[in-house]
Amino acid sequence: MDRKGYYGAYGGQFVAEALMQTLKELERVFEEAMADPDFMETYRQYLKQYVGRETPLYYASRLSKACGTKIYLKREDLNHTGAHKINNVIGQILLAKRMGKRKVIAETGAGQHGVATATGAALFDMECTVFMGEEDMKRQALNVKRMEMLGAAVVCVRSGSKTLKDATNEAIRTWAKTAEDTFYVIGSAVGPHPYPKIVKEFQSVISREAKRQFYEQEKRLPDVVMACVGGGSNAIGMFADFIAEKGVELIGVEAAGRGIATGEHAAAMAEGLPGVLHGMKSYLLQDADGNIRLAHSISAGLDYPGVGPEHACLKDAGRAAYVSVTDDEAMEALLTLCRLEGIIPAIESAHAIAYAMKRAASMTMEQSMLVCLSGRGDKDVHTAADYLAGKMA
Amino acid sequence: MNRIEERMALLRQRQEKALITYMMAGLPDLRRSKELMLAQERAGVDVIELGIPFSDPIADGPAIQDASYRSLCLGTNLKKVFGMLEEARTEGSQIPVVFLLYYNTILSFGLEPFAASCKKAGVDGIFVPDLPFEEQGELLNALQKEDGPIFISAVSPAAKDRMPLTLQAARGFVCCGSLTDGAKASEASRKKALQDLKAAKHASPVPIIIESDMQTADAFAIACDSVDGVLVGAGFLEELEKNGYDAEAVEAHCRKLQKRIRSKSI
Repeated sequence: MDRKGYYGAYGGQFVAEALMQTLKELERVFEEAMADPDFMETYRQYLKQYVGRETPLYYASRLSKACGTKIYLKREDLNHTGAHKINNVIGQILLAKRMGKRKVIAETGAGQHGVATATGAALFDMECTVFMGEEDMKRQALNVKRMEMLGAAVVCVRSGSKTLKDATNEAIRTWAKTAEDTFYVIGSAVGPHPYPKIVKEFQSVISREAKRQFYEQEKRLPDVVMACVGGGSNAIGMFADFIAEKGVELIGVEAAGRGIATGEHAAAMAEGLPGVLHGMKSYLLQDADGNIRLAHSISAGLDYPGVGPEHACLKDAGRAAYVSVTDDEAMEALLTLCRLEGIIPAIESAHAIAYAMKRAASMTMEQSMLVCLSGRGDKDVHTAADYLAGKMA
Repeated sequence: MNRIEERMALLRQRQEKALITYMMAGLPDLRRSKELMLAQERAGVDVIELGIPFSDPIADGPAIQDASYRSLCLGTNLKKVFGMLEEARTEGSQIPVVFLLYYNTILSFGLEPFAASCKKAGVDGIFVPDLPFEEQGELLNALQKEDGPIFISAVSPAAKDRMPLTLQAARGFVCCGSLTDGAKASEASRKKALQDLKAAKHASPVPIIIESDMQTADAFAIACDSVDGVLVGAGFLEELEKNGYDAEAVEAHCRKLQKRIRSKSI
């Protein structure tokens, strides 16, 4: 980060004046907490005893054999609540408590961040409201029920595209009015500074563990590190400790939906148009007038028209490559992982698996790849069943 | 001198409060938007804030979100609104006009072309709800290069540390939110908000305008001596809708608002 709150040309704080004081306060408390050994110890204890960290680094031998290179999976799907989202939620809710807030709000797409926030709120006895697009509530009905069982109120957002983007708009609006007693738990590496920095800090545990675990098994660094990218929280966590290792190729996999050429996709980087949305400057899907376009992906968690500012910067700097895979490719990869390894991945994570299989084609058995398996696929069983039924019809 | 600053100076001299209206450009269509502007000018409205529709108006409530969405569906964009204003100016309209738009609309148009088009069309001020003080530099540079419209700022009277920052460079007027918003619903918190507002007015080199629907207790009535004018936003949109965007009805409504504000009786 150079200019304050910026990653190269991206990031910043594009919010209403009414929220600026709140962001400054959050930044101050976050920096203090990072320097406070007690805070970090508490955070680590919750990750260990409650979330179940560390998560395994699994050598996927059958997948490796099928692909012709060594593939290791970082099993974030084995975290409590079924995805990497909880790493960040525990950190942010501890910050909220430190700030004396009694309520938390969150936006959610696939529902994983919503479930994680509802879980954290129950654990720390806070009132929780989750904003979710009407469309996503249909796609992820199971997660809506989970949030409600955990005591959260789920607010159905019917504006705009009725997905994650609109849920985020509504969460920001509500926050601007209630910031006095309410903490906004942002789930992805997006939003105004300091959020992208906070999310990276709490997700970097993924690469910290994975780097050590990989070394224990291979006594070297991996050749390729890969993760799926919607807003980019699991990817920034997976990249964090490898960014300085210049020999490691970093690859972020966006959702190409029905194909980039159809315009029905969620690959903000593929179009390469920077703009301002949700408090940050970054790459966005937008039309000729600067209006935000609808994203499309079979995966609700990747169905977002923007991307975290540090990813935009890593792309421009050439440090990470961003590619995309289609709905079909992701679903094929999902089934492949089920059958070869007995693991049902989230459709989001299946995007990373799909590109790993492609990338492996130009690698050898002496080389190795580290893939973040960001979440488990139980929530996607309905979508997968519909997909298979449609394919057979 | 800028038309907004000129009008504010005149009001100050006459010791009168300002009436500022907000309307969404392109509703019910661009031609009638222009007629509605002219009607408000005839009624003596001091400044018109013209909303440019955007897909994700994160700083606006349901009424403006809905208006923004409908206007976008009708094909309204920044370029067309520049054209509409230019026409109004050609027909002799002199009313101070502020464009209210989100930053991505400006970035997409290009900072320099935006500043030049503002100048050409006769835009007097711009208000960008998602552009706080820290991020204004690039846009301000572009506007100043063109000697274009002034930048209207929002202030948050409760944020005492930030007030000097936002007020030091303020031009025209500054806007602050309604006293009845969200967390300020209780009597005690409203009282505190009113105190903050008074302090802000004392510190501000330019008039302080409060957003109000002029229907609830908010109000301007309580705040009357603590602000220099009122911006009718969502409530005004609803009025336009109710009147079927009829220019005469809107003119009559604005005259009524004007009278209530001048007599401080709400």
